[in-house]
Amino acid sequence: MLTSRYRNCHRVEQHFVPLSLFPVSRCPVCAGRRYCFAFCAIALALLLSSVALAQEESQEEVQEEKIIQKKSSFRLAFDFPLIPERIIANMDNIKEQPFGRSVQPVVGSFERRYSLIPRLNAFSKNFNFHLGVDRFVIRDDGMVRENMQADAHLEGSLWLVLIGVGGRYFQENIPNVLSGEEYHVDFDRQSYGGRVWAGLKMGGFHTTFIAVRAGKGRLWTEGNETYSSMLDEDFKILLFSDQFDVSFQSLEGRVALPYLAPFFLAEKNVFKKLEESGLFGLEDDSFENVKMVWGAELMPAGKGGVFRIVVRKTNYFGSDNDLYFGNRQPEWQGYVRFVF
Amino acid sequence: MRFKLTVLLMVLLIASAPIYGNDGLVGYGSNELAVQRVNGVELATIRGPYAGLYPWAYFPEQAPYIPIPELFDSYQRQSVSQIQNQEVLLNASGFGLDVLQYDPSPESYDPTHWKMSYFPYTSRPFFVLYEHIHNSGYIPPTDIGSKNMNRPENRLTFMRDMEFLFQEVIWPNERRYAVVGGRAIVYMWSSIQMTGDFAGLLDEARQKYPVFFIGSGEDMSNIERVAMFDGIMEYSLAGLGNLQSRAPSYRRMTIEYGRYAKISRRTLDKIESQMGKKILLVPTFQAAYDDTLVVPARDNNPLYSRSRAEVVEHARLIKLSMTRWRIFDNLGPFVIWSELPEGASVLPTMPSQELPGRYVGYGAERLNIVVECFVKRGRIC
Repeated sequence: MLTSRYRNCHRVEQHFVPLSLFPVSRCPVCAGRRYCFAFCAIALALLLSSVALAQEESQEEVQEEKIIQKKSSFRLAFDFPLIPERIIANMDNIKEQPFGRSVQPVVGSFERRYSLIPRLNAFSKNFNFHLGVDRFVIRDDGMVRENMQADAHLEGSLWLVLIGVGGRYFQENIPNVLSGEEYHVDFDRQSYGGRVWAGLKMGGFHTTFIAVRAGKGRLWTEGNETYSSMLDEDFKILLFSDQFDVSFQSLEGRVALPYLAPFFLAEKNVFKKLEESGLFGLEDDSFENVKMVWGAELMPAGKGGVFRIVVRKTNYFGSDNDLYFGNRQPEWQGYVRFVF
Repeated sequence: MRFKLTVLLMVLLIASAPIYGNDGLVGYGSNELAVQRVNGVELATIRGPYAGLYPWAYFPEQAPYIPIPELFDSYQRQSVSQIQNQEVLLNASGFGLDVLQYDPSPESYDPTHWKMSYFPYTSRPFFVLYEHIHNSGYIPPTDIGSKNMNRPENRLTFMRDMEFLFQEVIWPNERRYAVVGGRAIVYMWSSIQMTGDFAGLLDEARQKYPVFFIGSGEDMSNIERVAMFDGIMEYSLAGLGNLQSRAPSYRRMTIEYGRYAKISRRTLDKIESQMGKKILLVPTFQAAYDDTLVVPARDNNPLYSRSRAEVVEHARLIKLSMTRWRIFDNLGPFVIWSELPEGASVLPTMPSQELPGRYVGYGAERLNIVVECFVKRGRIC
């Protein structure tokens, strides 16, 4: 269902959200502007509430906050999935099409799964670090897709200025995409890249903050098929090997209320192809999409509590071609967070 | 806090300017014909292997196997009835078209043979394999040494032969002649031996005739040279198995042909991106090669697979390269059907005992492999 919905979405027409920061393609969920206006309304509300909260916090609360900050300005958090996560991956990269093969990604939604490896977050007022590593298997149409992915970022701020660096790696192996009695063909894909950014931030990562970022980076991806048989050597086919320039802008915010911390992130990415080789490169030389994340962190024991629950929703608008480089974040995520 | 907010809002305002991407435009070169169009059979509509047919007589002492009598008699060229039998077999086996070995030089018997026994009695689509290497009109007239196409005699011969082909073969058989975009296909084996300003000569011919040139034996990393053709189709892969060595290897040939295919595709993609010219790449299937009985001797060692599975392996890689990987265009492949002296033909032969470690594929075995791998749809052999 998800696939067909994305296939039919209107990608060409664009409109601009009230803050006119991000040109957003018509989304498939609302088929119009309503959804994006709703997002902007939330973003604006968060922005204004953060200001209002900052101004209206009582002296007592400020004192309390300062004590907590003094006690432990550096936090270490481990996220353990609470609900199974549905994997969003490219489903068509290994399948033959009736009128010629293509590696043009098509969104595929695969079975839900628990990630056994916790995600690590470390943050303080002016420091933010994230590391996520995952390894899993997707069973699709009788084939087994072995996936390994990792992403990390590190950023710090001084007064208003924010700088950061991040990277990602993705590997996919699909054995026996084609096989017979005397031969088999395996598929593999590797993608990696990094980006740097600068921006402005107000507030602390561990409490209430709002940040804007703009940055650039590079992404490489390569896909191969290897034919193995009685021949003296394997026959390796380079399907694609592309390099992309990536630029992005993002707006992120978090509001720390006594027992709840809603957060949001809107990120626009523009991908431009720099180099390509192989038999089946991506058809589009450039594409863009917008990732929107929002959710909330529940803190039953208050801001200083160790046990928390995080729920987040992620949506993508615009091109699906980012799947060329790896899987997407699950649409719905819920996890238990332990903060030390 | 207010100052920070002001700075932040200013940044938001600056960032709010819309960002537009550049849309790339991809153009293709024009294929419009300046000359009359040949209303033949478009190659893209033809499915199945291409059968290489020859006008030569069968000499038993010079062939490594015996063709079935329905197709050949000793010391005879194929008769009309044998050619008709052959057509029935080719149709039943799913071969898409015929490739006729054709030497248009005045001393050659080829034009008479095809005119008397093939054109009036058959109906299959075909194109010609233009015999230029042994063509008596060229200097030198044999395959000893390349043809310098800067020489006026050679240029004259080439244009004279094109005129002959169009007048005697293509226009009279227009409805069944294989074409690409209305241009009649003329295939040249070992075009690498045409040196000098061959590109200019091909262009000259294209100005005068609606012709589509397919070359072979070229150095596929030489972009300038390859770009003068409209298509590439190897005639023989035997050399890739190293015929000069003590034991030529069929497996080696299979692997080297895979390498050749990848290099070729890279070159043709470069030509398309740099010059806007799309060049066809048609695969070739090689069942075996054995010219050890040919007189005069050629000093080659025979190239046979060790088992049927190795031949299937070669065919499978070609099929995958045509359909799954699209290294080759999904056309053909070219298969030698009846050139008996070089031992590569796939026509049915008299059954004989296979020897261990040397698979000849007597009987209809070679033909079965071709049909299994290249004719039956939707399966990888």
